[in-house]
Amino acid sequence: MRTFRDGARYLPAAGFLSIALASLIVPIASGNSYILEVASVMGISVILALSLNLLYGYTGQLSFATGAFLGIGAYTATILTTVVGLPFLVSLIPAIVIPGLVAYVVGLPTLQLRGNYLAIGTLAVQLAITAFFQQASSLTGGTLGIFGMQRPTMLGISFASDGAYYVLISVSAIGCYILASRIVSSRWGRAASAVGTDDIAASAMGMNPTHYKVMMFSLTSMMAGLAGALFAYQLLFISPVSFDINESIVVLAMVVVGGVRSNPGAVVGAAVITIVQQVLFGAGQFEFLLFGLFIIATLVFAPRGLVGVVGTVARTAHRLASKSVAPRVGRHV
Amino acid sequence: MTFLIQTILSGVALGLAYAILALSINIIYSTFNILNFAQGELMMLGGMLGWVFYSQLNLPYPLALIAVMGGCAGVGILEWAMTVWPLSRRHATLISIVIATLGFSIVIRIAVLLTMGGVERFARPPLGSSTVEIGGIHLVSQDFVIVLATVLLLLATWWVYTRSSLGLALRAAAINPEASRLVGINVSRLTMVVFGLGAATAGLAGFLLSPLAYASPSIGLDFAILGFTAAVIGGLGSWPGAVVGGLVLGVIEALAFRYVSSQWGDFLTFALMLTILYIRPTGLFRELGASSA
Repeated sequence: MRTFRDGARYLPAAGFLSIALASLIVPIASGNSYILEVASVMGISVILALSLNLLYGYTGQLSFATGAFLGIGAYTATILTTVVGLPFLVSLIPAIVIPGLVAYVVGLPTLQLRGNYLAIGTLAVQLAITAFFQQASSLTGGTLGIFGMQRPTMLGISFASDGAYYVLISVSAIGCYILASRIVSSRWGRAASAVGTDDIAASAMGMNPTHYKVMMFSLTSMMAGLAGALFAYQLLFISPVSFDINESIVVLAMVVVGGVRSNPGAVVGAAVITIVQQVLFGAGQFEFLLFGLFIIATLVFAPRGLVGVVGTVARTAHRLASKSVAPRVGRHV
Repeated sequence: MTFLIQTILSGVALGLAYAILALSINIIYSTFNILNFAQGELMMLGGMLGWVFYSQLNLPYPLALIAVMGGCAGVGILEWAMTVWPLSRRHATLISIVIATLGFSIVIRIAVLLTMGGVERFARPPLGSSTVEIGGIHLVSQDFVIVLATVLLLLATWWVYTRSSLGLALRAAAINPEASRLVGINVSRLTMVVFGLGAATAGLAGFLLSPLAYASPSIGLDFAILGFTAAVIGGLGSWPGAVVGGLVLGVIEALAFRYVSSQWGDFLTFALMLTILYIRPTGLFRELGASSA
């Protein structure tokens, strides 16, 4: 029998749908090019934060190489478009697949490492790939980077304007969010999460930890590759600076600030860090000092991130509300 | 042949500076398994403070040395008070502490940039810029200073860890923090001491290197990465490993710089480090399975 309570099940879905629609419509409706630009950066950041959250939050594998895979996606899309002349949709496929393949090959040995050694191993991967971007000048244009990208045209529709291109970015970000939540609630995702919690216990229960770690690394690198391609078509210019270790650190900050092990947390973290960076932009170098303090403060005062704070507040409010009712019931009994 | 030996020897001086940095990373790591991302920035701070105290304020060398190491120790203790202490009181995971040290490294970098400027600084060499020639090979006076300092530092570390009550407490806390608390060791204060000592050692590395290679706020992260690489090649937490790791790294860097290019040198260095990690996941000098987490 259906009761009124069943309706509550659809509440998260309705909330998600309204937020998704609002994030799609509001920046475009504003017609403000600065808001559109920030919103585009935010959309790309959301994809990156979701991908690192799947890898670090759920599967427990800390990676400092997010920027490198973002870069591989961006360079693949740019080179295939400017040199080979592939259309947007076709260039998107290798821009997603190649980071995944590189991650698979690199991840197979790297993800055998644990804890601090894994952090240093992925750091080395990031730095080696950055050095490659800088040095393989015949392919990547060296430190000067590559100009000459154009906004895509798809099925005869031009996405040249910032508004139209933002639709592409936000639809991709929403798609990645749905994908990430599907993965988390799937059987495979729960197994990966078990590996992240305790890989020895997981292997005792018949799971192959390496399989889940490497596949998750590969999958999340594909998401980063997609973000890279979107980034390249948005900025129309790429250079190694955009994909260095600092980018990886910023994405890690998004995950930590928003709330590790939470997809909404990744979205909130990406939005907040993007806005913090934009607001503090005028402050120049000082911005980064506050950025560092912000990371420390979040870790100390909100260890489960901003989403955790909201959860705590909601639970406290609920407890206070039920407390005021409870004693009256007690007297009757 | 002389040229090759010359290159290798220039790498040795550089490598010993990295070895001291790796040692400073190990001082913290071997007791509390915390990877301090700010160690590179502290080394950079040592170089910058060296320029301030020795080249600008013209303090005598021993006094400048004490000022540099003391200043860095102060910043290290500040780091402990802002990150490690509050986080471990709240039972945060080791990885969150590591990320917090990363946040603090940004704070140091920008604070140095705002107070001492972003210019590349060299401290003047204490024994002058004279060179010594042995069989056609030229050695800079600072090379001898670095070798002497490394030897003294290793002796001091050995003494502290094997002969002093502080070392005994450190080794006890490394094996079992809970039991150490029960026998009256203040583990929290010990963490503070370790962060201070680690920071002072990193500052020493920066001060020693600053006559040979510049210090500037932008180089701290590079130092951190080089220090981690040296520590990992030898095995995190291993003292002889730090020295060997630093030397290997310094010599490779010098060779790559002469014969290939500095950027491909980076690529080769990190590829080598990954290879070593793949073959020996806990470094060259560490028993496999001994505290790999």
